[in-house]
This record gives sequence, C-alpha cells and structure tokens, in this order.
Amino acid sequence: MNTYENILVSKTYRDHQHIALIQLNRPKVLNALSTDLMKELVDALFVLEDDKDVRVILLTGNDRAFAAGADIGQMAEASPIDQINDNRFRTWKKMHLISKPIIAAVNGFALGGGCELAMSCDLIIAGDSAKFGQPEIKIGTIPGAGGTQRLTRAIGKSKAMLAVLTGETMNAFEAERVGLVAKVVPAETLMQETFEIAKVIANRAPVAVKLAKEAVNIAFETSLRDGMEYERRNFYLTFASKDQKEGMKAFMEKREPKYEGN
Amino acid sequence: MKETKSFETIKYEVKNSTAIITINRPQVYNALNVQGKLDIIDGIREANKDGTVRSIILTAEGKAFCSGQDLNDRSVDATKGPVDIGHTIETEWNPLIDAIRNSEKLVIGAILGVCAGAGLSVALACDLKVAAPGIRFISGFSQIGLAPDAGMSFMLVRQMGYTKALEFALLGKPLLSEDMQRYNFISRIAEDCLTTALEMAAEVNALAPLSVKMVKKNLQFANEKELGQVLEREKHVQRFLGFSQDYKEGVTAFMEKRKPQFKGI
Repeated sequence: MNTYENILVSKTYRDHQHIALIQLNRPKVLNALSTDLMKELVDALFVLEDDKDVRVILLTGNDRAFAAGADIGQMAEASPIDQINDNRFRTWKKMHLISKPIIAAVNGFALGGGCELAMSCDLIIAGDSAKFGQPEIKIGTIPGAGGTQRLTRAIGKSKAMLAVLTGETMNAFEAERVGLVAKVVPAETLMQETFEIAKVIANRAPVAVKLAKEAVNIAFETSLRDGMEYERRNFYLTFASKDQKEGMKAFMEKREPKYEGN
Repeated sequence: MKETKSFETIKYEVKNSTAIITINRPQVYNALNVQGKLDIIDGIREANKDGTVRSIILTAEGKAFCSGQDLNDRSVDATKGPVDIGHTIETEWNPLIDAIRNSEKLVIGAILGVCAGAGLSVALACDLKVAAPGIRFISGFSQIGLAPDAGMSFMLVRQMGYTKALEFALLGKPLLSEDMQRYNFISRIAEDCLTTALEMAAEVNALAPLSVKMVKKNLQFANEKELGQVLEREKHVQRFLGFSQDYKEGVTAFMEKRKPQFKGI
C-alpha cells in the first residue's frame, strides 16, 4: 500500500481478512478535506477496490471529527476559476466508481464537506456524539459536493431546506430519525459496532453485495420502471455466480454458506 | 489539596481525586449571572480534562444552593424593551445543564441550602444528590408568569408524575428535602451534606471510570428511550467494556479476593 500524509490505511482492520479501514488523519484541523487529502482518499479507495481480499471498506475520522468540512483556509480568497482549476470535485466524483460497500463511521463533526463525504459513502453509522450539517450558508456560500442533492434525497425537501438554509447542525439521533444515518451507537463503541456490521456484510456473497449496492444506487438515477428493470437484470446475474448456488444449497442443508466471491 | 485554575464566581479545588466546584455568590443567594454559568461549565470541563480527577461535587457557599437566574445581570440588555429569555436559556442555561448531563465524571450535588427557579433545575441535573435536612426546593416560575426551564419540566414529571408535578410547578408550595427524598429526587439527607458527598465521591472514585461513565450514559438513555433500544445499547456498551483492561482487572481482583486497581482503560 502507498504511504499517505493525510490518511491512514489498514488493509486488515482488526485482523479481519476482508475489512479495510481508511482513517482521515488531519486531527489538528478536524480532518478538513484538503485537495491533497481527497486525492489520497480516492487513490486508497481504488487500491482497495482492486484488492481481491478486501470486501468492505470503512471510512472514519477521530473522536472529535469525522471531517469538519473543506479547507476554508485553502479557499477563502479563491476565484471561481481557481475553484474550477482545482479539480477537487472531479476527485470527489471518482468515489462513485467504487463497487465495494463503503461504510462511514462518524463520531463528532460531519459538517459541510464532511457531511457530503459521509453521504458519499453507502451507509452511515454514527456515534451518539455525532453532529451533521451543511453550514456553508453561514459563510456566504452553499454546499458544492452533493450537500443539496444527496441530503435532499436522504431526508426530503423540507428537512434539507431547513439544514441548508439555516446552516444549523443536527445531532445523531435526529439524523437517524430522518434517515440520514442507518444506526446510532454509543460514541465509545462506534468502531467496534461498525466493525460488527462490516463483518456481517463481508460474510455475504461478495458479488451479490456489489450487485445489490449498484441496484440501490440506481434508484437515485432512474425512473421506478427503469430501476426495476435494472434490479431484475442484477437479480438474474446473481444466478451466474457460484456463490448463489452455494448460498441456496447451504440454506437447504441448514449450514453456514462459504462464499468465495465468484 | 491543590489549588488549580481560578474563577470569578466559583471556587474550584481538587481533593482526593474529587473536583469540588463551589458556587460563590452568597450575597445574591448564588443566583447565576452570565459568568456564573460559564464558570461552572468551565469547572466541569476542567475536571473532565484532569486525569487525576474521578468525580465532581457541585456545592455552594452561604445559605442558598442556587436561586436561579440573576435578574440584574443578563447577557441581553433589559432596558431596551422585552428581554429574549429564550436566548439566555439557549446560550447559558441549557449548555450548563448539558455540561452536567454530558460530564463523563459523575457530578454529585451537595445541596446545603435553598434551590429556586433554574437553580432547582441545576440541582436536579446532578447525577447523585445529597441534601441537608429541611432545605426548601422552589420552582417559582409560575409566580412571576413564566414556566419551568433548564430541564425542570422533564425532571419533575419523570419523578412526580403529571399531577403532582403540575401542582408543584404552578401552585408554588416549596418541597422540603424530606419530600424530595420521598419522590426519589435525592438519594440521601445528611446534616453535614458536604462530608456525605465526599464519602459518596470516594466510593465512586474506587470504581472503574469507564464503567461509571457508561452506567451514567446507559441510565440516562434508558430514562428517555424504549426497552428495545435499551437492550441494543446495553449490548454495545457491554461488548465495549468487556474488552477493557479494567474489566480484566476487576475479574482478576475478584478471583484473588483483593481490591481492584482501576486505571480507566
């Protein structure tokens, strides 16, 4: 694995063969998402995407912050052209190309770009101290990496408007109630419990997991009818895998399946 | 005893691993001005940062524990029309209640004098409470045309039930320490309540800090949520504690029939 300055990567998190962890590691600036950090993050994601041993990727920050937004220092005096040339958002976009599930484990602040990054993951597990929000409006701008789009799809128009127009944060339980977060766990136990969920997913048939992730994501891009078609194709496709045969055989033989990812 | 940080409106000292925060505005019955609330919050923060501290006692100087809002010292100017009390609550009282509630170290209230208004809310927010006999507990809000704040509505209705809570909040008859004990607001009454609080603190200090912190959080959670959610949370927390060194130490000490030495890890 490459060495990085802004993130820490471990390929076998808690010695689990199939779970990788990426930790954002700029604690002094609450993991502000600099262009360099995002480049490293995407690079690491692609390395893990290509690694056959890895089935689930966890993304986390630290106790105080998942990520407290973009690097304001980096862009306070920027012109629109600077922003365009920075290519930050092109880096962000590449996250969509990852086919393995990415779980965001959020303690502390997930604000602005931090909230957008968490929403770019496939699901969010939050510690009970987590705070989510899109505070860009407070400093005279608006979200730029999905804060108005993903948040609206996740929690609906009225709640999204309240968050985006006031810039106020919401706590973990509120975020869970409105559907932004899959599950809230005690902050101290966040990594342990996220790991338990990752283990469950890592034990499922890897091909089916990928096809399922793809199908859910298509729901945000298509009409219901096209989405249903897409889902059915992926459903048929699972029957081409050995793991599907193994899964159903194990079910009938009342034993645990052994999946190999093909 | 070591003297640490100094504050304007409270005394802060650490004694046998317990931080003692003493509200020190006896001339106004320990009503809290802006600085008063900030100082208590800071004191709690300081105690939580200090690795040698394992518990906190909140007490007061003089005849009163705390008589609530200092009406002569608000963060907003009362001479320029109606005062936005909501602002005072949002920026001062609620953060103070949250500081006590979220303190990872237990806050023991040593209530040696009258509590009134939001001062009662502060007393009720403490984790463990010991009061001197015959102390008066007064809501007082309805007598000046307001409603209980800083969490008092929650505390009253949980402990007393709706009808008794409503009568207490509206009709204004003070409750005494003995009544408060009957309603399970306070666990103990003691003539020298500070000494009793220190004894309770010593017991708490001997426990595993992670256990103390998680038990506090679990019970707060249980007070607000449903059984299914509580069962789930207990599982998470127990898994976490089960991997702690202090749990290992606790079991080993139990087997070896000696007192455990907990480190908080």
